[in-house]
Amino acid sequence: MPPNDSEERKLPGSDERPTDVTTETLVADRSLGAVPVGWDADMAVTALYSAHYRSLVRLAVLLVRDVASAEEVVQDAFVAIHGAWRRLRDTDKALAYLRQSVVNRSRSVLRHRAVVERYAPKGLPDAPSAENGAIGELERTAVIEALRGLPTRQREALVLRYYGDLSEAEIANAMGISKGAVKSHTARGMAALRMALEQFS
Amino acid sequence: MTFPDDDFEELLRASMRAEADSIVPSPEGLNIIRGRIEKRGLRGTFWWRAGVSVAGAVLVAGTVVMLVPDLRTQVSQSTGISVAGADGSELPDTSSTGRPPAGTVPTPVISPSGTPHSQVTPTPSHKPTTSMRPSPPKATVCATHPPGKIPPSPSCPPEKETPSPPVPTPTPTPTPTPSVTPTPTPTPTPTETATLDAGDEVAVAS
Repeated sequence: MPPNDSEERKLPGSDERPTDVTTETLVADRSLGAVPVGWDADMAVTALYSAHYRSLVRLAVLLVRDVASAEEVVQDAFVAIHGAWRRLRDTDKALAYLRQSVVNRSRSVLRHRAVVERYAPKGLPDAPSAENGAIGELERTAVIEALRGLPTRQREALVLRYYGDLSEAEIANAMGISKGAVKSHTARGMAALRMALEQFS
Repeated sequence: MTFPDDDFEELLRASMRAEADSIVPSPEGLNIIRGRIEKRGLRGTFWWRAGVSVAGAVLVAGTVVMLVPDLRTQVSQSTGISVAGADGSELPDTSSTGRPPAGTVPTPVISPSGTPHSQVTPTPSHKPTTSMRPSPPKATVCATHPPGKIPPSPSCPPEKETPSPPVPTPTPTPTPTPSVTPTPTPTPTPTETATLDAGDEVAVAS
């Protein structure tokens, strides 16, 4: 498959698809998880990419904390859904499949990173950027730093809840846990985050 | 910093949104994905092709070995696998379970004079009685003779004679009939007749 070949391919139904708008609110938009029946894997991946890639990368960044790893995670998820496209029973759940794949692969990245950091020499902490002077930016940075310090499951639950705007059932599906566990992780994460921010202030 | 729940949730949501919006993914993402998909497809095709090639080679080699007799012999000798009967060994005896082929056993024609003769292959009129148990005289071939006509063969006793003891007597005595030139090559087969009862003897003889 040549790289430029599929970009010029006109997908059926792509005229009606407002990709420029949806890329900003992808994770919350449930309707874009549906892919027309009959599309082959290449067409589906192209459509899903144009609709969800950016939001999934941003979701992954909040989970794995760096853009390069996040992009790799999302790209792996797209490759996986391409391979599993024929076996996908419900193509309407392509976005759910992608999201679950991103969450699982993010966990793997964090697990691998934890092993690497355990044996690698620790570097200097990130220096605050110049734009951190504002109060809002300070708060935001503090929240993100506190979020990064949470355990993985709690961070996943909070990111999917407050960035993805997902329901408890969707979070449970993406994380592969029960709804009760989602509630528990969310509550614990919020408490830990609140405590970390109080210590920060 | 102490926040009410709603404010804290709103702060969390806004912070995540701002952090996420500051990230701009690489525009080459789709090309990278396609490249990975292509690599993956090639990798899968490679193993599939390798498997098919190996299977084809094995098939061709097997066909050549089976078609060339010398090779087949070499392979059979080297592997110890031999075709049944190819190395001189006899086939397993299936006489007790199989039927005799039709037409191999001549049908004896019993004349009223009590001298059985055959047109095709003159065989001894009586088989050696090697049965281990006494067989009743009715069931033998000699029993079909009309009463009063005693066959000249000593192995066919008269009807009133007591059954022979279970001593094998492998001494066939072909019946000397003047009209037939019997070949004195009786082949006593004790294994066949040893397990046959009287009714089977008649069937074999016929």
